[in-house]
This record gives sequence, C-alpha cells and structure tokens, in this order.
Amino acid sequence: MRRVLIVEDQADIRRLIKWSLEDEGYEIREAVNGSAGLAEAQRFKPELLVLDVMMPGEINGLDLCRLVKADASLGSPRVLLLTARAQERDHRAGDEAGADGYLIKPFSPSLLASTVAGLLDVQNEADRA
Amino acid sequence: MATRLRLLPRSLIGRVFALYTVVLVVFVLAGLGLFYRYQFGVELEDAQLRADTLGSVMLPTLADSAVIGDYDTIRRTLERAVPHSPFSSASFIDLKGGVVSAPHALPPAVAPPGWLLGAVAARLYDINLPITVGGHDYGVMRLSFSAERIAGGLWEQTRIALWLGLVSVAGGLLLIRWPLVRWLGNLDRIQAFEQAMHSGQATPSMLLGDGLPSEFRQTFEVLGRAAESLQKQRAQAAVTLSAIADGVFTLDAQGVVVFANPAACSMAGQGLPEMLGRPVAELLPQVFEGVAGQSAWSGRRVTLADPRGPVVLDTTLTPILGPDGILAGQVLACRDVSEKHALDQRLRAELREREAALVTLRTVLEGLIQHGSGGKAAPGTDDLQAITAMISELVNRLQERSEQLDAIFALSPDGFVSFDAERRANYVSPAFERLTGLSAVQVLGAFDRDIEAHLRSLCAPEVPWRSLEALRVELREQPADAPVQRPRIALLRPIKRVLEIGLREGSTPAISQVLSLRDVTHETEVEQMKSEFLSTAAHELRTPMASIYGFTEAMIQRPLRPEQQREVMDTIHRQTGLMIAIVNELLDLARIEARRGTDFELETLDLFEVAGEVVRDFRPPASRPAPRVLPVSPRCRVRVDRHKLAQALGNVLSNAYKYSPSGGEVQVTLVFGRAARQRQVGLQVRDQGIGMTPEQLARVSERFYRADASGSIPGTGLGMSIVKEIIELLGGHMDLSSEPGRGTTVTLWLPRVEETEANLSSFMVLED
Repeated sequence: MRRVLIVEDQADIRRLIKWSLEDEGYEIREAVNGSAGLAEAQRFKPELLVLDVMMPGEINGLDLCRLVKADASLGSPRVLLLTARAQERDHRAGDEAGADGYLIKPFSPSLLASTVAGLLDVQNEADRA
Repeated sequence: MATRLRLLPRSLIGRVFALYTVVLVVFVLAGLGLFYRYQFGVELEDAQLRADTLGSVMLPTLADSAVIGDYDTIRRTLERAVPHSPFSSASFIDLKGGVVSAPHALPPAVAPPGWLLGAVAARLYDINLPITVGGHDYGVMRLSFSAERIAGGLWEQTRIALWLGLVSVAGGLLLIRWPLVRWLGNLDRIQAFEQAMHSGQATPSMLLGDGLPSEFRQTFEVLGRAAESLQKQRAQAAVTLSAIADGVFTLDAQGVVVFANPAACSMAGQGLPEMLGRPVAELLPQVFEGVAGQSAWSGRRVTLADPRGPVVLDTTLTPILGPDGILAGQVLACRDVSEKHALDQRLRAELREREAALVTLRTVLEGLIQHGSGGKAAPGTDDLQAITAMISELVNRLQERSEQLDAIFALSPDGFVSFDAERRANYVSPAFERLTGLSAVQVLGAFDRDIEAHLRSLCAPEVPWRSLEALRVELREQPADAPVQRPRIALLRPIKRVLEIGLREGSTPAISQVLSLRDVTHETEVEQMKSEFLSTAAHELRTPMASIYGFTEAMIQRPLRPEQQREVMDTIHRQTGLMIAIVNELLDLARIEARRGTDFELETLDLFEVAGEVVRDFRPPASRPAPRVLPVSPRCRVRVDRHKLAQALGNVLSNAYKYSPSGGEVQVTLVFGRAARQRQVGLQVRDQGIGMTPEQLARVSERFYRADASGSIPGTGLGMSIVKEIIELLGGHMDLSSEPGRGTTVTLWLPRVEETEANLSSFMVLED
C-alpha cells in the first residue's frame, strides 16, 4: 500500500483530503502542523506528502517540503503543496522549495486524487527505472 | 702770469734745475761783468803807463839824436820801441815837418769786436812829447796807441773768462742733477704704485725705501694708507657687486666696459675678459636702442631676446662725475624683472577683466534692482560703491526670501538638496537631514554621485538600485507633463523608511538640479497593509470555501452514508457561517475605518450599567455559565456609543469563552486607573483559558491573526481588531495580559467623564 502523509492545520480540510484519497487504497496518516508532520514523516516514511503551505508554528509547509527533500533517510518522497495563496510568487516559492505539485484551495477532491495518483506513478516509474 | 707758468718746466726736477741754472748764470754773468769792467780800466791804465815810461826812456836818446840830426838813430830807436808795445806807430816829426815813423809791423793776435774797439779807442789818445834841449825845440815825438791791440788783449781775456764761467755753470748743473734725480726720483714710485693699484697688487711697502727724505716718507705713508683703504673698499665693492643679483656694468666716459659683475656677465652672455674694453652699446644693443645722447636714465624697461625666453630688465644709467663736473664714467645697472614683469602683465590683464566684469556686474545688478523695485536708480557713480549698495539691497531681499524659504522648507516634510552647475550640493533642507541622517556639513559641497552613493549605502545591498542618472535620462526623454514613476528606496538606516526620490533639472545656472526625498513610509505601509489585508482576507475566505467546494463535490460524485452526509452538511454549514462572519466583520472593520467614529452616537453612560446589559444579552456557548459581573463602586460614567461598546465587549466575551474550551469562569469587572491613568476606567474581562505566549499576545490585534491555528476554535481573526479600533475611536485603548495555560485578561480602558461634566451631560441627556 502506498503511504501518504497529510499535514494540514484545518481539521475540515484534513478530513476532506483524507476522504478524497480514502477510496484509492492508500495508507494515510495525518499531522496538524509542521513539526508534527516532520516527526511523523521520519517515522512513517511516506511516499507522498500533501502539505498545506500556511501553517502555524515554527515550520510551515514550504519549510517542511525543503526539510523532507533534504532528508536522505526519507528516500525523496513526492510533495504536493496545497495553498490558498494563489499568486505567482507563491507558486515560485513552492518550486524553489522542491515541490512536485501545487494545488490551490478550493480544490476539487477528484483532481486531488488524480494528481496524487499521477505523482505516485511517476514515482513508480522512477523506482522501476 | 700764464706765460711765465707755461715757460716753467713741468717736472719738479726740471723746475729745481731751471732755478738753479738761472741763479748760477746770473752770478757768473755778474762776476764776468765786474771782471770786465775792472780789466778794462787796468788795461788802459797799463797802456798809458807803458807809453809814459817808454817816452821817458826814449826821449833823451831822441833829443841827443835830434840835436845832432842823426835821423837813423832816431829811426832805429823808434823801431825798437814799437814791437812789444801797445802802439800802432812811433814817429818823430821835426820842426820842418819831416817825419820819421816806425809802424807796428805785426798784426794784432786777436781781432776784437767792433764795440770793444770803439770803447777802447774812445778812451785813448796819441802822446806828443816835445824834444827840447837847452830851450831849443827840435821836434816832437808822437806815440800812437793801437786800440786794436789793446782791445784784442782785453777780448781775449774776456773770452777766457766766459769760457771758464760756462764750464763752471755746466759743472755746477751736472753736480746738482745727480742728487736731485736721486731724491726727487722717489716720486716716480707713486706712478709705479698707481700701476700696481690698478692690477690690485699694491702694498704700502712699495712706497717706502732707504734714503727716503723725511717729507716724502710721511707723505708716502699717508698715501699708502689711503691706497690700502681704497683697495679694501674696492675689494668690498667687488664682492658686493658679485653678490647682488642685479647686473652692474662700470663704464668709462666713452661707454666702454671697465668692470662687470657676474650677474652682468650672465645678462650679456659673455665672460668678463671678453667684455672688458668693449663698448657696452655693442654688448647690449637693445638697452641703448633709441637713447643716443642720453647720459642718464632710470627705470627704463628693456626686453632682451634670450634662448630661454625673453628677459625683461629694468635698467638705470648713472653718470659718474668728476670733481670738475666732467663725465668720468657711467654705471649701468640692470635688474632682471622678468618674473615681476610677467606678474605685472597678468595683473594688468586681470585688472582689465575685473573692470569689465565689474561693469557687467553693475549692469546686471541694476537690471535686478530695477526689476525688483520698479526703477530705483542705483546710488553713486562709482562702480564699486554702486555695486556694493545694490548688492546689499539684493542681499537684504534675498535674506528675506531665504528666511521665508527656510521657514517653508523647515515645515516641509519633504527633503530637498539643490546642486550647482558642478553638481555639488549648495542647499540642503532640514527635512533632508532628518530623513537621511546626513548633516548639512556632510552634504554641502558634496557631488550628487557621492550623495547617491551614500543613500545607496543606507539601503539593503541586495535591492536593485535605480540610478539618478537613469532617472535624469528618463526625465529628459519624457514629455514635460507626463507622469513620472518616481523610484522608491527603502532605507535601513538611520531608521527604516521608504523614500520617494524626485529629481528636477534646474533652469538657472545656479541650480543644475534639485533632488527631493518624500517620506512615503506610512503610505507604503498602508498600501502594503491593504494589499496584505486583501490577500489575507482572500486566503481566509478560501479556507471555508475549500471545505464547502470540496465536500459538495464529494457529495455529488459519490454516494454517502446517512451519517457521513450529516457530517458533511454540518461542516458545510459551519464553514458557510464562518464565511458570513468573516464578510460581516470585514464590513464592520471597513465601516469603522472609513468613518473614523463619525457615525458614533455618543452618550454619557454609566459604564457598569452598560456592561451589565451586554453581559445579560450575551449568549454563552451551550453548557457554559454566563459571565459573572463583579460588583464595584463607585460607579463611573463614560462617553461612548452604546452599540459599538456592546460590540467590542461582545467580541471580548466571545473570545474569552472560545479560548477557554475546557471551561472556567469568565469574569467582568471595572478597574480604576492609578497615577497616569487616574482619569481612566477599565472594563476588564478575565478568563481561565489556554492563554497566550508573549509572541501571540503581541499579534492579537493583527487582522486575521488567530492564537489558535489548529482550526478547532472557530473564528475569523478579526474580532480583536474590531475591538481595538472601537476602543481607540472612543478615546481609550486596549490592554492585554496573558499566561499560557492560565488564562487571559483583556482590559478596555476608557476616559472617565468628570463629575461636573457628567452631571451636565446627564442633564443634557435628560433634556433630550
């Protein structure tokens, strides 16, 4: 089963994401902020992370993305950023942090599911290659 | 007299000699004369005596012979008597007239001169002796004197005496000459000394020697000392002349160089030996150009062509006059005034320029004065005087203007620097100093590029800099009325500021450009806040929208179990409510900010009563007790808008409950200010909730800031912003204190209405 970690501070959104991915047969875990997300990622070793960019606390989504990508022990998982920040510069900041995908709130749950599937397929191919 | 002088020999020796000669000749001649006279008498007397003697000797013989008539004996006797006698003839004349005569046969030995002959002849006469015997006469014996013979003898003696006289004169002269030459010859030493003096080798000992007469010795000693002192003076003069920078030529009366000092040699470009004896007019022809016949001048300026450049000389020709007033020589002094001359030329040129400038300045100033004061004539005719007057007039006006401008600039929040034609700052306004932290001393005189560099150094180095030059080019290329996008710079020092840079090129020569800085920190902050606020608001709206959109899509796309459906609907409802709350509060905030309290309906109210009303109407979350109002005294009045205060207190109460999810009492009370806050009263709400860290506390009144970020506590993040705005518009302020885990206390401070004022207010309220 593919491992997916959701890091999102808003409970409703977290539930929505989980709901959207539930039927795809992933093993899903959740975290409510950046530092919890990092700890969980080190334990869980997810293949993909869905990260909210704007999170309270010392580590926001972009920081977490950078940390996850930089941690060799995590095996370079895919990262999908979710944000309400829709401006060009926010997008660029995501790219610079090394994100693989970018979805803007409000988002379509089916689009989220297909995007996650697409990213994991790429991962598969990369693994196979 | 003159003739007699002229006859005198020139030399002393000659004169002494001539005197001696004359004296000697006179004495010799006198001696000769006396001798001649004496000899003349003696000679004649002697002849007479001899004739008498001869007559007496011959007479008896003749008488005897005559008696007997023996004429032969007579003849013989006569003939014997004539030789060796001074007679020319002896004769016997008888009575019958017969003559027996015996002439002197021999001619005289020496022929006397005629005058002597005459003089002697005049004194001689023939001697006639009668021959008488016994009374009877027989005849006469006649003896005739030979004047020639007597004069001849006399002449011969005289000639011998003359010769002797001549010889003694000559001998005497010869004898006197030797000592004369020997003693007076010492005077020749003076000549030799003079020669030596010319060559500069004379010593006083040259004059003195052995055998010098005492008079000479004294004279020569004096002369020697005089010469020595003269020589010393000459040496001093020579050293002095060689030491001075002026060229000095000493000339004789004909203008021939007899001396030249080193400076003069260098001016003439020749050595002293080559110049000596040559006319100076030949050596320095330029100096004597056009001054023929002048024997003296002073300060004549002459330019010599020299390979190193023209040499300008100030020349002075001074005559040297002898004691008799006759020109003895000349001194030509030449001073090299090339540098002074060049300086003079420059000075003159400068003076001319200044004069022209002065005239121009006067014209300009007159124009300015007339322009300003409507044709007031400039006083005075003197340029300088007039200009001074005009300048002081203008300065007064300028000072007035400057004071006005200074006052204006001092008030102006914008900073200005103006630059002169060289782009150096010549004015800086106080605001510029304040904005940039640069002092006027640092700015004035600095180039625009230096000031720009300094401004740049105050900014963050990574921020791209738009140069003034680029701005200037842009200004030039744009049409005059086009709006200019003024660059903004963000200073980090002296304090963080955003400045807008303006640049205007000057139209006068005095001001090439003006750089202006406008402090737009506040505007920028407001703009940024607005932009951030909008962005944040949109973000906040997107979050509930994401839930609504996502869950509805999920509901549409897949079947849900009834309990799931319920859950989703709840979520959608809650999120929609949140959206409505956000929109409402945003509108509230917008209204409050737009009206700035102008729509407040202020009343003087009892704060405790108002608070009680609000608490009464407040609906706490289900299962939570209502806030407890702690009674206080005394009551106090405030002037507030009832509804706004209720809204503010409602928000605070709502937060108190939201952030104490695990329960605990919410208390409401009044507190009274002390010391500085004596005239204030605080409405205090205290909860026992989760509290806040100091960092969270500092951000409470930020819009959309929420102390709880988990989303478990619903809220817009605008409530406390609204509270703060309302309280501040009511003249108060909000105080927060909190401890994580222990709860939060919010105090809304409001100004108290004084009792008398309050009475009046309540009276007026009653009146209403």
